[in-house]
Amino acid sequence: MERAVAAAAVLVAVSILGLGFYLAMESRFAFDRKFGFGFRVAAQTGDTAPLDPVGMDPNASLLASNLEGAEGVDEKEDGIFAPTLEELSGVSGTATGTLLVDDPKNFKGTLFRDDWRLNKSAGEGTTMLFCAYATPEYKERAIRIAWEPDASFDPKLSPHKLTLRLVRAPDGVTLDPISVDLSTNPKGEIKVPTWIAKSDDQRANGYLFALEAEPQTNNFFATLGAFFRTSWDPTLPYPRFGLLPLLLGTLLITLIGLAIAVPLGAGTSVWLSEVASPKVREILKPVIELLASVPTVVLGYFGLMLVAPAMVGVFGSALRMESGRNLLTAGIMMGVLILPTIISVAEDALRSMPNPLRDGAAALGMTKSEEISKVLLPAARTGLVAAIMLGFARAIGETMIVWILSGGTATMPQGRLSDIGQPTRGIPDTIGIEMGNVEFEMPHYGHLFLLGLILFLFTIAINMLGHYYGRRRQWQH
Amino acid sequence: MAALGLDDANLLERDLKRQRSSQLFSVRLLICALISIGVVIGIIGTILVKGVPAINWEFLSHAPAEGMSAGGIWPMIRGSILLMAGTLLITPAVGILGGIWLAEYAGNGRLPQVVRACISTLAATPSIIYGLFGLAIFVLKWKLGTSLVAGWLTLSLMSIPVVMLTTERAIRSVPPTFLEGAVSLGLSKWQALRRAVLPSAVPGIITGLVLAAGRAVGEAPPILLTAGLYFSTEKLTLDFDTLSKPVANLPYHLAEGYRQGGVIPEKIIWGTCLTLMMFVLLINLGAIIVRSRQRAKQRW
Amino acid sequence: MVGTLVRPALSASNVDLFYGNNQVLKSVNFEAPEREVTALIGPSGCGKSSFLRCFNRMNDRISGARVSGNITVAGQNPYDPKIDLMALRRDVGMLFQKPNPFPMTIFENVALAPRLHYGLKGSQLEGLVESCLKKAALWDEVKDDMRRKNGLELSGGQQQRLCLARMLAVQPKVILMDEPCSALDPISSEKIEDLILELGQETTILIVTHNLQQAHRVSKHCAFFMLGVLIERGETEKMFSDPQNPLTADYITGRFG
Repeated sequence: MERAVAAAAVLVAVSILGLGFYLAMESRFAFDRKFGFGFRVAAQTGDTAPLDPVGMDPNASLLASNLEGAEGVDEKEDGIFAPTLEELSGVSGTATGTLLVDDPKNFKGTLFRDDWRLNKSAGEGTTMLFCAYATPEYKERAIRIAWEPDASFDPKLSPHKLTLRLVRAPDGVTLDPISVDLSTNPKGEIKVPTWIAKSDDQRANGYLFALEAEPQTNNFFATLGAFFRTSWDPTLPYPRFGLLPLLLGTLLITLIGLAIAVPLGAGTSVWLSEVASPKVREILKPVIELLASVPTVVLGYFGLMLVAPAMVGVFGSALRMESGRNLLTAGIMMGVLILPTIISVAEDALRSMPNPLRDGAAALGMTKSEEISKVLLPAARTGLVAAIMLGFARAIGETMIVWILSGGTATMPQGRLSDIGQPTRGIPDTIGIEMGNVEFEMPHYGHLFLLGLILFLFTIAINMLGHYYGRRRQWQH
Repeated sequence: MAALGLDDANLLERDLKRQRSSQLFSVRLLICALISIGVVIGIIGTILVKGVPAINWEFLSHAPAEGMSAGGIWPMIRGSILLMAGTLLITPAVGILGGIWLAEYAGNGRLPQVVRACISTLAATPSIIYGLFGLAIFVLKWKLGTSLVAGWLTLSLMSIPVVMLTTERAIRSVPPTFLEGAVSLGLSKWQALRRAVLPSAVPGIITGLVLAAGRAVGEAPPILLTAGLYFSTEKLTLDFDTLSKPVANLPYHLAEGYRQGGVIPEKIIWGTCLTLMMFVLLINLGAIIVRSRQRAKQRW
Repeated sequence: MVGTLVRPALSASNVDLFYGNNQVLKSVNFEAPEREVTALIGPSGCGKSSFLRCFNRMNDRISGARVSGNITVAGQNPYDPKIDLMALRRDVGMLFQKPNPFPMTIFENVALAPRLHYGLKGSQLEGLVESCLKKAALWDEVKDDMRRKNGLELSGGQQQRLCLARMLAVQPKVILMDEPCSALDPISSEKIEDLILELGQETTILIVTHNLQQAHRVSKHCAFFMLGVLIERGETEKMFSDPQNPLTADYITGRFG
C-alpha cells in the first residue's frame, strides 16, 4: 500500500513534467511556419500621371510567395499570360511580365502575368524576375516602375531582406545600378528611360528587374521574433502571430478586475473578520464563496445580457463604445469572478492573526481603524498578497468571461483612456476560440500552444513568487 | 501630556478626530461588504429569476428541437453527469493516495518540497492549459479523438492536484497525537494511518473531491478542446462506442451557443445557465454541509 | 480589611462582572494606593484577571461581558458612557501574559502608539523611544539594530520588555500586568521583576500573579481572590505572615491553588 501511495505521487510529478514538456513539444509546430511576402509591381506612364494606382492597374503583376502547398514544389501559377503586343496594339502604354524563374538564363520564353510561389521559410531566399516595356505607340520619354505591398502584407514584419533591383538595362541605355530596400520603401516608384518592345519575343530583352528575398536569420528566430509583435491575425493571407495584443488584453482585463476586486475584497474581508459578529460571518462567508462556484460561462452570459447593455448606457458616449463587449465589461466581470476568491483568502489570513495582537493594539488606546490598518493589515500582509496573487492567477487564465465579453478583436491599446471601451481579446480565449478551427499540427496550432506555454510560464512565475513571498498556501480554484 | 508638549485640550481634539475617522473607516468597510454581498445576491438572484420560467420537466428531460430554438437540454445534462462520473472514477485513487504521501511520507526534504511546489502550481494552472494538454496527448497522440474518454482524462488530470492538496491539508489537520498513539500501540505506520488518522480526515477529503467535481462540471475550456459536442439528440447507449464519441454537455453547449450567435433563444439560455449553476451550486452546497458537520463534530 | 486610602489610584465598589449568564466577580470592593505595586493573587479561574481587565475595559472585547458597580481609575470611571476610551487606555497601560509584540521592527513597536496619540515625530519620537527602551532595560541589547530587527526575533524575555517599553511610550499613570512572567524563564522573570520594582517607585502598578513568591517580592499590597470574591486585602508583608481569613492562610501555605 505504501508503494501505491508513493507511486501516485510519482505519477503526479511525472504529469507535471509532462504538462510543461508537452506544451513545449507541441509548440514546435509553430516553428514550421513560413514567411510569405508579396508585392504588386506595375509599369506606368512616366511623364503624365498614371491613370490608376498600382493596386488598381489592370496591367500590374503580383510577385508573391504566399502559397501553401506540398513541400519542395513551387506551384507556379501558369495560365494567365502577360498581355501580348497584339492585345495591346493601338494602346500607348506600358506593361510588365514575369519570367517565373530565378535566373534569366533559365527563362523559357513565355511571359506571365503574376509570379506566385510557395511560402518560404525565413532561412530560404528567392528571386523573382519581371520585365518592363512600352508598346510601339508609346510616346512618353520615361517609364515609371511603381510598386506597393500586396494587401495585408507588411514588409516591416518580414524576416527577409526584400530588395527591388535592376538586373539589366536594355542595350543602349546606361543607368546607375538600382537597388531599393523594400522594407524602408514599401511603396514607391522609379523612372527609367523609355524602351519599346518591337515584338513579343523582345519583351524580356529590355528592362529586367528582380524582387529578391534574402534570408537574414533562421526560421526559429524569425518565428520567435514575429511572436513578440503587435498584431495577431492568423487568417490573413500573410498571417500574423504577434502575441502582444493578446497579452496586453489579458493583462489589462486582469488589471481592471484587480482594481475592482482588491479594494472591495479587502474591505469586505476586514469587515467580515474584524467587525461582523461570528454568527453573521458564518452565514455570509459561505454565501460569498458560493459565487466562486458559479461557472464562468454563466458569469459570462450574465455579463453579456445585463452588464454589457448597461455599460453602453452609462459609458457608451464617454468612452466611444461601439458595443458593450469590451475591455471594461470583461474587466468588471473579471473583478466579480475573483472577488470571492480574494475575500475568502484574505479573510482567512486576517482571522489567522492571533488575538493578543488585537488586544495589544487596543490596550495601547488605538482606535479600531488604527488597530486594523496599523497593526493587523501589516501583520497579515503575506496572506493578503497571496490573496491578490491568487486572484491574479485566476484572472489571467480565465477563458469564458473574456471570450464572451471582450468583443474578440485583437487590437493593440493606443494608450488612451478610451481604449478600455474598445473590444479586445486575451490569450486563453484566443486558444479556446481558434483551436476549434485550426489544422492540427500546423503552425497556427503550434502558435496556440506557444500561447499556452506563455500562460503556463506566467502561472509558474506567480506561484514561485507566492512561495517566495509567503508560507505555502492552498492554491485552488 | 506636558512632557511631550501637548496639553489636554489638544489631545482631546485629536482623540475626537481619530474617533471620527475610525467611524468613517467602519462605514467604508460596511459599504464594501454590502456591495460584495449585493453582487453575489444580485447575480445568483438574477439568474434564478430569469431562468426559472424556462425550467419545467420537459425542458430537463427532452432533447433540443427545431435547431435549438425549442425543446429541452437533457442530452447536455446527461453529458455533464457522465463527465463528472468518469472524473470521480479516476481522480480519487490518485489524488487521495498522493495526498497521503504528501502529508505522511514525503517529509520536508528538498525533493518533496519541489513536488509540493509543482502540485500547487498545477492546482493554479488555468483550465485551458489542461485543455491544450488533453488535446495534444489524449486526443491526438493517444488517438482517442474528441471523446468522452479524453474528457475524463483531461478533467481528472485537472482535479488531481486539487484533491491532493485538500487531502494533505485534511490529514495534517488531524492532531499528530492520533498517529503517535496508534503507532505506540504497535501498529505499522500504514495501519495506524488507516485506523486512526484517515477516518478523521474523511470529511475534509470528501470536501476536496466534491469541490473538484463541481469544477469539472462547470469548466468549459478543457471540454471545449477534448470532448465537446454542440448538438445532440441521440439516445444514450451505454457501450464502448459512447466512450469514443464526443459528448454534449452544459458548459460547452453555452460556449458554442455563444460562438454560433443568436441561434438559441434567450429564454433557453437563461434556463441552461440556471441548470448549470444549480448543478454546481448543489454539489458545492454538499461540500459546505460536510464541512460544517465536520466542524461541529471536531472536538480537538 | 484595611481602611479607606486617602488617595487611591484605583478603586472598585460593588463590582459584579458577568460573561453571559456566568457571574465572574461578585460585589468586589477594592482599592489600590498610588505609586505602589499591588498584587492580585488567587487560584486560577478566581476572576483576578477579569477584574484587572475592568480597569482598562479590555473586558469589552469579550462578547457578552457586563460590568456593574463603581470603578475609578486615574480619576476616571472607565464605564462612564461619555469616557474617552483612548484617553483611558493612554492613562492605563497593560502588559499581557504572553508577550505580544507587533510583527514590525523594534523601533516601530515602541514608536507606533506615541505617533498616533501625540503626533510625535523626528528626534522627539526617537528620544522617547530611546528613553522607553532604557526604562525597560532593553536599550543596550537592541540599540544597534532596532530599526532592522523584527520584534518577533527577540527572545521571550526581551519581547516582554519590548511590550513594556511599548506601553511606557504612551506615558501611563497606571500599569496593569496580567501574569507578565508566567511565560518566561526564571532569569527573564527576574529582570521583569526588577523593572516592576523600579517602575513601582513612580507609577501605580496592579499585577496579577499566581506565583506567591513573586507577589511577595514585588508588591507592597496584596489582594486575594477566590471564586470571584475578594477574600482579603492588605499589606503584603502582613498578609503573608498573618493572614486574617483561613482561606487565605490555606492558599498561602500551599494547601490548595
